[in-house]
Amino acid sequence: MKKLLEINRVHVEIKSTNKVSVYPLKGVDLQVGLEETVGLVGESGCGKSMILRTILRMLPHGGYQTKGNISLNGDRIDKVGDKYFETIRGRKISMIFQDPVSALSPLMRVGEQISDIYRYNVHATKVEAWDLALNLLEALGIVNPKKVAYRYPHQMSGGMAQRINIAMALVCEPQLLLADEPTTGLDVTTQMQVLELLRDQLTRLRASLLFVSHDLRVVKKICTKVGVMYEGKIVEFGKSNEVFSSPSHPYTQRLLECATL
Amino acid sequence: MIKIIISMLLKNRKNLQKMIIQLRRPPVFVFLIMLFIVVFGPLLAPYDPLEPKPMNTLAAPSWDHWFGTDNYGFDILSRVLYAAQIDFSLALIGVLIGGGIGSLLGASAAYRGGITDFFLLRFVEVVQSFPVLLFALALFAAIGGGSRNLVLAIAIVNIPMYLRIIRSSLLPLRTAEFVDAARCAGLNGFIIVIKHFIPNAKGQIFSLFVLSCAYAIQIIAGLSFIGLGVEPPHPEWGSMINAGAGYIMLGVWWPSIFPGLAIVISVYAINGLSRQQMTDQIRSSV
Amino acid sequence: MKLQNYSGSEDPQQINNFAIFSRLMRYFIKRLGILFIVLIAVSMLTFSVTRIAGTPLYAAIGVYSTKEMIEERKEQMGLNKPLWEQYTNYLTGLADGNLGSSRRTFAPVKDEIGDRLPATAELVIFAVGLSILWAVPLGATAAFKPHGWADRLGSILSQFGVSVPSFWLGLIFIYIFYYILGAFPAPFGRLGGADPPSFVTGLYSIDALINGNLTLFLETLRYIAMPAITLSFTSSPPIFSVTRSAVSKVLGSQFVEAARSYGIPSRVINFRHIAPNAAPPIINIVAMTFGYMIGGAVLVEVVFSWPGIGTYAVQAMDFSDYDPVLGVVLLSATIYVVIYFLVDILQVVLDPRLRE
Repeated sequence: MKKLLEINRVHVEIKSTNKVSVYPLKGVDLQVGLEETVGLVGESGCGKSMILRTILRMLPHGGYQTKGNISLNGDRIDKVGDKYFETIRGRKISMIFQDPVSALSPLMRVGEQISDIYRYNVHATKVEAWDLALNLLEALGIVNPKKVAYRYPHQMSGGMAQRINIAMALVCEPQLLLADEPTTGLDVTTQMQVLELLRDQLTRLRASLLFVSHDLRVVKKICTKVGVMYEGKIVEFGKSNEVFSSPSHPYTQRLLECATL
Repeated sequence: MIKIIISMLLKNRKNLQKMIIQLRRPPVFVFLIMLFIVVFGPLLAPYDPLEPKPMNTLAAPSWDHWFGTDNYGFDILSRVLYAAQIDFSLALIGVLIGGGIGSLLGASAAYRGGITDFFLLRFVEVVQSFPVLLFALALFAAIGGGSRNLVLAIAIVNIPMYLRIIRSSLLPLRTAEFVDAARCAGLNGFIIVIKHFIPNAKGQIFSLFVLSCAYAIQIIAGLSFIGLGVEPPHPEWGSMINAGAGYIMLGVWWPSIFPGLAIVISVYAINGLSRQQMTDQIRSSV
Repeated sequence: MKLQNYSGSEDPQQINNFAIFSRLMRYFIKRLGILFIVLIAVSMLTFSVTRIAGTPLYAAIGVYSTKEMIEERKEQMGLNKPLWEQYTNYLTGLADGNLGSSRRTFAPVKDEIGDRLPATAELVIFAVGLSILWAVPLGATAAFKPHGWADRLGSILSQFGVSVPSFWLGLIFIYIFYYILGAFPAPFGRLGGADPPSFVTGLYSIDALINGNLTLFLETLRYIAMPAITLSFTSSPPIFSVTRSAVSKVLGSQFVEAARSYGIPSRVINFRHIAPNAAPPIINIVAMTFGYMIGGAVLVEVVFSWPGIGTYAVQAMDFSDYDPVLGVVLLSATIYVVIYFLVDILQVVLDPRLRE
């Protein structure tokens, strides 16, 4: 089966100004198939968020991918030019973030933020983009999309803001959605609802999901496969029910012990 | 006597070592050299700063007079060195007075809150709405010029700065537990403010102190330049620059340039010290 | 449709626009009230100086006068009235625009300041303009590339800008650019004694342009160049620092990263996301610098014999002529406080979050 995303032996180095280097990723191998939901779990600092940023080339100042390759649909994307890569961001791969309200630009109305993405990625007109944004808001279950579109980010709850973020990530119908702890800032009921929303949208778009979280419960609910990360490497990978019920790597066992306690 | 000094040094060996390591950094080193010159300036001066040499006015820098002479024949190098003491001491006294009062007021504002706080803040706003030099002008209009009033002006200018900063750094402490504990133990407000509040702002006070000294030197020089402040013929960097200002257009650059250079180096060195301290703080907190 | 029942999908807190508006109005009125309190306090300060200075009486009469003459004059000048009444008289006088008269020229201070204010204004406008021109782009570039050339250059320029006394720097410029290079004219004021352009705004450069006199316009530029550069250099360090830290803060925020991840082109991000969010503190510091410089340009004015309100005050001081000094001080403080108030209101207008 052809893989949507392939990451092979990727190493990342971050050079800081006082010549000390950090190596957040030390040889990561990961595959995400078509219409698959893959989870990534691990403790803080293991590098799971760094993988997402490496895929989208948004490493922090001084960070470089030193080894390995990343391919999308068989084509290498880690070495292409910056200009071409900008066509990948948003259109083929996009991302949602942890704190929904701060991921939104504070001085711009949310409707405009959604339509901007469509406008600049697909070169549509302002009017087309705005209509599309309204439709998308409605599809995501927002009552009164016209009113909400004129709101500012600080005027909405966490749950609604996360829906806006999901709208922004999916407006150009990407093939792969990256999620960096999207439910961590929300309360439990809202978490579940956002997850269901995500699942429905992904089925509709026939897209794949790479979901990073330290909350095993949430990963279990939405991901069919899961990878466990430790110290910059993936130590275990497989179908989520298998990994969670009978983990083979000792670290995974420890992790599960801590989680169920 | 020497035995006592040596034993003191040996006891504090660790601290001494720390201090010597500090010396290696350029800003600290430069600052200490400058401090040395300020303290021992008059001893290093080759001539009497107030002894005019009518035969030798406006002489260009030479081996005899490294910085040249001014229009009265005074040796500029000597005057610059003597002026260092005057400028620094006036600045220091003014900052100490103003900073002391400002810190007390700021701590009180943070502690009391309510109306005291409100009015103190308005007071700060009012005083700070006057550009510093014009404020000094108005003050001198009221009570005359001279060194003593110069110190007063510096003090008044510093009060709002310290008030603001101390107040904002101590404000979170108002609801801290140890305050309640102290009050329960029967200590009255005044003692609480002095003994418990202010020590918490020690770091802020020190870094502000360094910066406000540099600022004070600039103000003193500026006021003396206009003619208010230290009266000639007392050597002062600002008034020396003023005396030499008219001659610059004629190509006689040394009476004005050297005092100004002294100001630049002093202020730069002082600011460098505070910058070093700040980066230290950042590095140690990371 | 099951989706409708999700929390976060229904219409949240009814955004009550009327409540927001009334809250804004209350804030505006509160700031206006504080503005008045501060202005009153400022006038009280200057008033008390006029009383302490003791000028009015002896200045009016002179040294050789009998007791009766002094008493008579006192009565005439209203100095026997209670302090409270004197103060209210002073205030009403101010409201009329009466700032006293110069002891030396016998002209009303208001008129003399009015004559000189455009000179200071022009100088400050050019200086602030120059500062914005170099400090803002440099600060932004420094924020994008920490420890890069912009960061290091800007830091060094800032450190020197703060350490160098403005009057000394002016003298150095005079020495280098006038005496040695002859590039700029001698520091004898706005046009060195030549005839100014016909009055429109009082700003010689603008007036020259309006009159269509290009050579005169270039001349005004030649004269204003050195003072403006001097003033700009010593007052721009805060603008550089604030720009650098504001842009840096925005660059590190989550929504910029998010916008980049959605594929929005960098140019668009810079203008629609970074600039509006970094702007408020920058506008703040520029306005405050402007407000401060009206009175703070004194030293530079003196060095270049620039006929502004600063030199006016200094000259008056030399003659123990106190009314002009206080007039200038009062005016500068008022301008500063008013600008501070306007900037405060502007912050709320620019940032919807502050309206809550």
